[in-house]
Amino acid sequence: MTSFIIGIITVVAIYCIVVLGLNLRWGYCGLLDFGVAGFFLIGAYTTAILISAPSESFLFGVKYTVGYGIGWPLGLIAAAVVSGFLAFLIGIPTLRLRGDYLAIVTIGVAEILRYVAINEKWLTRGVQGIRNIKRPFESFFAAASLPSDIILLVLTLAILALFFIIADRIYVSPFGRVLRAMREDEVVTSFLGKSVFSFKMLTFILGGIYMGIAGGLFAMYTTAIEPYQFIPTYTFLIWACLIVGGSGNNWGAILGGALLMGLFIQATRFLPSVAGQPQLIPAMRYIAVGILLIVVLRLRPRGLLPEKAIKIKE
Amino acid sequence: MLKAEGIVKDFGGLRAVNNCSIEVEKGSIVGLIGPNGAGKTTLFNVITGMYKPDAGKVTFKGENISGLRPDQICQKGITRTFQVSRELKIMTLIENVMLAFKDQIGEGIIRGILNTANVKQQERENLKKALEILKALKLYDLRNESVVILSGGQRKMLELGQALATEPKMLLLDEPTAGSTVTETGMMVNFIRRMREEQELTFLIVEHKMEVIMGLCDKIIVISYGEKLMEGSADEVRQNEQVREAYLGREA
Repeated sequence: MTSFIIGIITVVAIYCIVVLGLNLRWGYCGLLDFGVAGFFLIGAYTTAILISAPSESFLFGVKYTVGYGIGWPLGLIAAAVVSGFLAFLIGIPTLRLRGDYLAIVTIGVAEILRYVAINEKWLTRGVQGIRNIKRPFESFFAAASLPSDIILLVLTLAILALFFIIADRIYVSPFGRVLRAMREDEVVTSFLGKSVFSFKMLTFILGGIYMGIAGGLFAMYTTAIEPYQFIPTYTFLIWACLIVGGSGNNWGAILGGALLMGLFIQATRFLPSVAGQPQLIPAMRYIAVGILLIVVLRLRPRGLLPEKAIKIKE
Repeated sequence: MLKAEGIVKDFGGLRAVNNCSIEVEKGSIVGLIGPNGAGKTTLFNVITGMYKPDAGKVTFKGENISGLRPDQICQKGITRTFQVSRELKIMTLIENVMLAFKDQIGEGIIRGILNTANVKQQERENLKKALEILKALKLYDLRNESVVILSGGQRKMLELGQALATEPKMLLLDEPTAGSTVTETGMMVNFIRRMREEQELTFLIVEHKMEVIMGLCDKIIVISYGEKLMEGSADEVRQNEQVREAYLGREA
């Protein structure tokens, strides 16, 4: 039971990091990013492939070569670098265009990446997925043991706390001030001498780093990843978290992430299964999220913890 | 100081500005008038980098600035305001002004996160300057409020304050008194005069209120259908037959 609760907190905290990343992009800067799952995927696969032990196997006549046996800290850093670089590449053509183009391109890229993960079997083992992903200090503690769970929880919470502090400091910094101004009116901001494109690019990359590292942690948490875990549904669940919690407010992002992902993952765990209708109970989870979204938007349209203007003390 | 030569700007088949040349001398207040749709705002947009001209060039202090981006032109020392004020809603008045200062160290992402000593120092200085600007514009009491509560005239004032915070050499104001009351209009006019005298700022102003233009400007440029009709003093413009025709139509 302890292990079960630790597991839930860990995975919810991982999703909270993703929500913080989306808050940087959308909440601060107004970048319409529908490719959250793609950045999460690239981070997860980068870490998984790098930290797995080198191995070759044959499955249905295809040779798989997975794993480089690199240590987990480097694996996480690599997830950040690769995901940030992906953001940079997507940003070059799209960040100069109107917001909705970014939305289309990001959702497209996320899906392309998922299909790459399905089809490039030599690298990703396709729909079989990558199994037996190592966890930190696995040589001391077995993957399924309680200490191993605790170590991953502490690591995740530490990264979440660090990323929260960074995001919060950005919000009040002159850098963040430009982002919030751009979100309100990009044209005015550029006429006040700010190079809008580079501010957007930095924010987009930073959001990618958040999502990439979260992906890396996710790979270590589940110890097995497959393309189905990165369907666009997750992008919109993360969006729902941010909207429910309060876009532009980091505490709101955390609250929304905890509430909604907790609900989504666990709401139906204790319901009995219905004979002959195996899809019924899992589908209820989407209904629960939908109802919560509608109720919150109806009663608190700017989220549970709305963004407040900064009052400056003299 | 500012020279636009032979500016042409087309939108599809429509020629909004046709071979228009204007010059603004240092320290002067120049008015740009013309009937609705004459191309005044389009000319502003070409000068400030929102649009690239299809022909002609803009020079500022002898340097060719045509084709630069709006932020680059602002960095050169030209700041503009908008016909319909476009303020930043969720931010307070102080933040609106503080945003506009140039060369902010804390706009670098790393130093912004670390909030280093020199960032804090600069923020304190900028806060002081921002409060002075708000005082001068009689907006000090509202400094910690959101911009949404401001009246039309106050918004124009705040926008001017933002523009001043960029420490410009030249200001382009697009209808600075639109939506203002008579008192606010008077304040704006006085303020523009004071800025010219105290800071030797140069102004190019688009305005529909003739009493503002006539009372304020050293030189008035009249454009109609994208072409320059004439330029001269207030009296010369008032007496010009073509100008009257452009505004009121020809006698039958």
